[in-house]
Amino acid sequence: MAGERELVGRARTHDQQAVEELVHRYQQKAYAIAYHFTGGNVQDAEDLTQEAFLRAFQNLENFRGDSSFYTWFYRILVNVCLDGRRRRRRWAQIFLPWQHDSKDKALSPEERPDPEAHERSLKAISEKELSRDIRKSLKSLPEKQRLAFQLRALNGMSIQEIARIMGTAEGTVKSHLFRATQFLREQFKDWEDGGT
Amino acid sequence: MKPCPDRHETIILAAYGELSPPELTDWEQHRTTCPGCRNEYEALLRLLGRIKESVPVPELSEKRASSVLWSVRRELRKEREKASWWKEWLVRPGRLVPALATACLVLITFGWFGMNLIQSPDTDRDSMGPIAESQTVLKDLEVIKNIEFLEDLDTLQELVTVLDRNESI
Repeated sequence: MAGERELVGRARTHDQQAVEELVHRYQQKAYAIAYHFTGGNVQDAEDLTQEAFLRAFQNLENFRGDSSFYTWFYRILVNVCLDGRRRRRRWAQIFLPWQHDSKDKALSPEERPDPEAHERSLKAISEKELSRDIRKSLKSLPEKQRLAFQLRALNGMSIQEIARIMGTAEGTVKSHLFRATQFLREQFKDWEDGGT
Repeated sequence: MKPCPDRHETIILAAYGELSPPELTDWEQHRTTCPGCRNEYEALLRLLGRIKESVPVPELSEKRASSVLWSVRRELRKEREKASWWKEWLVRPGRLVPALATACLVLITFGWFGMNLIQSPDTDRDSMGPIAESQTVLKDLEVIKNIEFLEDLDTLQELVTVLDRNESI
């Protein structure tokens, strides 16, 4: 199996096999990051992953090799995801009334996709609700705290890696992670006390 | 029982497995003696586990993975083709000859017509026309402005004529 440096060198000369190998190596993790960023939107996650790879290969000339390719690539991915989120937020602001309508409709009990929800076990419902609450709480976190938490807790990256990806000091990442975790702990104190 | 207020950060870092070896040893010792911190640490571990379960990391299916790869390759090929088109123009300037010849022909043609227009006598008159017209208008305005004075002059002249006639009689 070719080394990362070698693959990057070959990709620079438009070697299709090297490009393919690099995409294969990192696309699962990239997709997972993008997926969490979009709050679970499969199509958006795919688009963002693709855009990140494209941007990376287009700018491969600028990769100096100071860090590993994957750190450099994930940094691009995170920037693409942040840009994507800002874009979506702008669109949401423009089409706010329509969005509200669709949200209301989605929440109305008559139009829920599964009419037999009440027949499901109480556990399954509470799991679903908890999952929804967790997503909601994650969404309400400030951008950097959310990013640090997501990359550490959900994508399993180390603080050192996150610091490189975010372009900040490790202490700053620790601080973001600390605040995000404290916020979530506070949010789900009742759930813990409830003893599910 | 509440955790020690100075141990919050340690508990969180311990839950993420981010303590350095000496910090970890210190924490392990503290954990055995402090039930508040131990409970908080265990609760946090449960919560993080629950969050991970609730927000699972999805797998990109084989089909979708190849679709991403295919799109990336297509876009990169497009970019390269675009770049090579420009390079071809820049590297082989001979391709620019017909375009340059057409441009020269257009310039010569328009230049010739332009010269003809400038040299034509009609053009002179036409071009002087507006200036002369504006000068006439200025003169008329001067006459209108001094019309009362001119009328007075006429009256005086008539008076002089009458007086001269009387004197001669």
